[in-house]
Amino acid sequence: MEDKYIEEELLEDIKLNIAISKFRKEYNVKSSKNKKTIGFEKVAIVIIGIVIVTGVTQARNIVQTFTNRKPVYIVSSISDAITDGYVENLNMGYMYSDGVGLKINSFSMSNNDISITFDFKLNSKTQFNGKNLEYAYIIYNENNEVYHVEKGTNTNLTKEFIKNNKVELVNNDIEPHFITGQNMYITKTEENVIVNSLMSAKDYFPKAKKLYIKVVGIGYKNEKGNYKSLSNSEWNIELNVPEKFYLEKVIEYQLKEQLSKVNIERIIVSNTSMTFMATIEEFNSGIDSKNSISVIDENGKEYATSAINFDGINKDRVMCKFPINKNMITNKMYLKVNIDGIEDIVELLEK
Amino acid sequence: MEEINLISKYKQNTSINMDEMVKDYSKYMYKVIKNMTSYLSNEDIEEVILDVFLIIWNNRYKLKDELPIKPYIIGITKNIVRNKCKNASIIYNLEDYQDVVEDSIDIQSLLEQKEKNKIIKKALDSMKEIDRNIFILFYYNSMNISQIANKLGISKVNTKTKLYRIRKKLKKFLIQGGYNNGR
Repeated sequence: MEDKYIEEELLEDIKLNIAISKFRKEYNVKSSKNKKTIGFEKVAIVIIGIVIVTGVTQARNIVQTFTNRKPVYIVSSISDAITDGYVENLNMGYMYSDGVGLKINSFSMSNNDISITFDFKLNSKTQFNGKNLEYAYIIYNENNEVYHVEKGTNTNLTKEFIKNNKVELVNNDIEPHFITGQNMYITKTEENVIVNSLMSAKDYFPKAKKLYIKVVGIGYKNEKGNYKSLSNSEWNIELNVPEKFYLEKVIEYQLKEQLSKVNIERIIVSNTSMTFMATIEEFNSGIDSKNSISVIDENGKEYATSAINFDGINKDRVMCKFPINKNMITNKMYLKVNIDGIEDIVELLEK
Repeated sequence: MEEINLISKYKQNTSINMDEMVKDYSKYMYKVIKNMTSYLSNEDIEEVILDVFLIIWNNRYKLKDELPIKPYIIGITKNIVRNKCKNASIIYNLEDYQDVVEDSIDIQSLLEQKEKNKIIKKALDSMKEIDRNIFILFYYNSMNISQIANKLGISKVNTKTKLYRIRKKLKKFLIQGGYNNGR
């Protein structure tokens, strides 16, 4: 095969797979639901306890303070936020139920992102074998404003939450500010799964002094795709949000010159990311998440979007996230827009 | 003296020149895999090579310009070969490659991704060649409607309509395959 090996065939296969992956990503984003990442600060945490759904209550009250430990994050703006001291780890112990341990290694919250690193301890007898862990969770604040729900498998988390709490739905949506998210596995072994969930807002997340995280329905899918439950317990965790997070001030930008097809609604930079919202008139070729809209700093460093979403009747309203935080911005920043092959670069001015 | 290629050689703005990389490394990778185990079929080896390039593509935003490409490729290859051989109880030898860069790739995610890709691939196989070409030109080559229309010698309206129908058909296949929202 060595000599007969046809590069062209391999290349065609690679191109096709890449094209398919890009299509799936676009479909994923346009279908509006996804996953997330983020950064943080000094926090005091109160673990309310574990309520076993089977009826037995094992409530434990633990108060812990947190020490500095270098967390592992992947998104560059988050990494920088950690370096800048905005992000901080929590030093919390595992809470066990049904042989499954759960703790939160870190969390952070800015105007437009929430990041939580879940750390699961599993029993080697579970035969989990490092597959993708499934779990449902809901994150909300003291006003019952829901930041995000991950529905999981075989759970009625959303339904029960609406039923048990006076939740005001906005346009029939329990998580009206959530735009997209991303789960990044930091560790995935037979006995330990650490995953960072970054949730991003399409506009902003409501400010909060307390965050509540409810985790239920931990399990995984086996080789045949059948769901295997590891625990039906319910973990409830309360986080005291430090002032640094809920008093965070963002930087708002405007364009120096108007763009012909793009009407900017909002461009803001927080401690964890940049958010761009605009409506785009009459575009033919679609908006490519990596090439159509980008931000360039004064050194010429170009940042592609880390998330993009569409809204509006004609899908002409676009919301983008960029991996740029407040400490990454330079004196001059530029927005680059390429629509239907026409490229415009406009300077961003601080409002 | 061996030439050390850095990732920067293949970077094109936010993309990677896969044509060039495949040309430079596919034969070398074939030899390396053969050296690791003689129990994999040619088809399996091709699949490993494909997986390695897909992983590089998936990680293109994380790759630093100064990263030497060869140890990175071998690190990924080693992980995939190990995974493949373990699953199939095949004998393999990685002793010669213990010092290369270990990459913490998520093979499980790659396998899941490929499974979903298969569904779309099947749908694309059932389409006309021109539709497949439009799909690749749009999603791989990042061409816009006008560029695709020019290249294929068809009108812009026709290109746009075809692309719309392709997307619609693929989404239908994904949903039928049990993947809502592409997940």
